[in-house]
Amino acid sequence: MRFRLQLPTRKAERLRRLADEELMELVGSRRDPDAFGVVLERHADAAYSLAYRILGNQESAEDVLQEAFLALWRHGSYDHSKGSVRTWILSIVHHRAVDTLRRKGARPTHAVDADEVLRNRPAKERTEETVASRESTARLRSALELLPEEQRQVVELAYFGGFTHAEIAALSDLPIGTVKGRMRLALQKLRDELEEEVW
Amino acid sequence: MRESRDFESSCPEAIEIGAYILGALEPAEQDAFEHHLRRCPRCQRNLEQLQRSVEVVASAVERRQAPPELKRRIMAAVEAERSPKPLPRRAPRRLTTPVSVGFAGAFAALAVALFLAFGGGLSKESLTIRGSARRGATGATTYAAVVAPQLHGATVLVERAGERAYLVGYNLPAPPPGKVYELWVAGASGQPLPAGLFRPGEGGVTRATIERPLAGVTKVMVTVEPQGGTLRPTSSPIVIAAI
Repeated sequence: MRFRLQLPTRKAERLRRLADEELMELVGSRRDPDAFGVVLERHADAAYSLAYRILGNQESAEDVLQEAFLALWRHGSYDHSKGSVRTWILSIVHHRAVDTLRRKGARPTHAVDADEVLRNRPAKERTEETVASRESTARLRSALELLPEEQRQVVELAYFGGFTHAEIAALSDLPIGTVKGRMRLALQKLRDELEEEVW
Repeated sequence: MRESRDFESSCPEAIEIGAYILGALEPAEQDAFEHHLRRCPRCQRNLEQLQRSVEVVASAVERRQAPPELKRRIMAAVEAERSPKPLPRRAPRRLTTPVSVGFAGAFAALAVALFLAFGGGLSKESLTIRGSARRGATGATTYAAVVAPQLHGATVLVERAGERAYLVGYNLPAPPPGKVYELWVAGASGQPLPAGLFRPGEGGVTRATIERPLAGVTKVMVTVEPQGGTLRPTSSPIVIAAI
């Protein structure tokens, strides 16, 4: 069952026609919970999927999502410099999920094979697995898959595994500069892919 | 995939940008890079260009549906925290002087009445007003509770949907060893009736069903009781919600 706001019809329709940035303006200036509800409805699934991917279980993912969205409500005047509202929300969820992961000490502290780490991540959903449920997800996964293996690996270890560049360098037996360079190149290639396609 | 566009990499710090966007810098490195960003328009442009790439990474995961119950909990907390008027939000305020008007006054009066009814425990000065009743976006009505200071800043709500009601607590501390939290409901007569036992949930979120019909109920309360609960409260309420 999907969550649906039970708002007066006209207000609900009006809010649902607004862009994210306009909704966040209402949240920031008027403390409008209905506008916040529309933002939540639009982005909760993506945010939850990301938290689940990083943390590997429903309970932790729910905790992170709740903390992140309540923080948005309490303190969240939208900062345009952080990208789109969606990017901003995913960034907050990502930071909190990685913090949780690091607090729990779920990551290996000794040098092990980087492939082994990726295989053993909780809720591993390697990009080669055919689990995409939506076309857009499939396309995004495809963009990630198009990255050279060595670049995709550092991105996944950093973003989903919460490893720092120094930890990845130790895991992969690579110089730190190489790891940083691969991260930057990977993001550049993803940007180029995005610009080639129509969003 | 075509070759990536030329990157404005003449800045020696630009090598950090990928690790920064992916959250892979150590905290000190992150601070240093943010300091640099403020002074380097070239890195600011690069950051702006690459930021959207991370959305590809974030979205390239198996799509899951956020549990509807989770979204309902979030909205219940939002509704309860909303300020009464469309004004900038205020932090919960601690009552140090008598409150004469509005919902806060009603809560304080209720707290004093219950203080007298239960013979001690909560004092008006020690209560923190957490909010007021709201009709939720989900159709449920949410009532913010007054909580005692020994709950260490916990937030407690009562959600009512028809005749079913739940207590929802955030960051409730564990009760003392050998004790449990017990729910009580009371009507106009003031006689509290036991309405279920609960312990704080995992991850700081508690959800407990109020095991009594709410017809005629005007207050929901929580006390700390011995393991197994009691039929009459043996301690003063630490949570009070007016229904």
